[in-house]
Amino acid sequence: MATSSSGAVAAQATPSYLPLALIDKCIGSKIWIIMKGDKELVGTLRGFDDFVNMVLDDVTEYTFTSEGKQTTQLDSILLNGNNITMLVPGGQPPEE
Amino acid sequence: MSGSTAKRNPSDFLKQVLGRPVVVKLNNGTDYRGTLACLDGYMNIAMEQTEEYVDGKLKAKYGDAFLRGNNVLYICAQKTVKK
Amino acid sequence: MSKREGQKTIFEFNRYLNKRVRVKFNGGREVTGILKGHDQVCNLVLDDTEEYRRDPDDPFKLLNETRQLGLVVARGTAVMLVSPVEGMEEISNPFVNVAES
Repeated sequence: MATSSSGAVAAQATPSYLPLALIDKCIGSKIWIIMKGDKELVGTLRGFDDFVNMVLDDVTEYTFTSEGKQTTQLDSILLNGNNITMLVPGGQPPEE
Repeated sequence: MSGSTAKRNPSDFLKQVLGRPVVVKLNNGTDYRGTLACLDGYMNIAMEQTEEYVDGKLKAKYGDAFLRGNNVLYICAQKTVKK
Repeated sequence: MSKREGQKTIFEFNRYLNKRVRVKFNGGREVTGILKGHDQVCNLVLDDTEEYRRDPDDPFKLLNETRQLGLVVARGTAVMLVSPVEGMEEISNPFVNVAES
């Protein structure tokens, strides 16, 4: 999959990180995904594609509403990459 | 399912869940539970025996339902339905 | 994709590498972080990232509270604005007292 990004890492002269290469390294470990709205997900990253649609296992979905935090447990999901804002490797769950 | 640690790309996932019971959540929070009949690269989805849940409450049932991909937040393959 | 790869963007993110930048996102989220990397499509790697909390009633109003996110990847598709923090300061509204005096 992310073969193009790992190839680009080698080509890069400066020691700067490539975003998608970093996400590729997260495969198999926990990741925290912050969506555009008031939604966040924490789960184990299994894979992703060019659009950064993501396959996640053992997911906890958090929705922050004015009434408080709402959580949902999900086994295995394909998350649409369209509404992702940020990806946090390691993925601590939101504590509040 | 989560026992395997092999890399699974979105296309692998989609092949795996075809014909199985899924939950599809839309951006507006609506859930659709049913059998995944067919889908494409836009995440357009055709489902069978679909139940529509709004705010967790069953609102409607459809024999066949088509969901346009841009509204899809996620597709969930669940072995067991947790509540 | 391959055609785009060769194309240069007008963004000179290399100038801000290892500097703190402020990033605004489509949807209203806002963070600052130390720029560690970027790619052609504006995906960014930010370290020591702080997200500004938003007013629960008005998600486009920022509170002064922050939360720590650490190392993050920001999606290029969601990025709206990138600006170096150094050299930027928020000023009080210069017009607010004009009517009173």
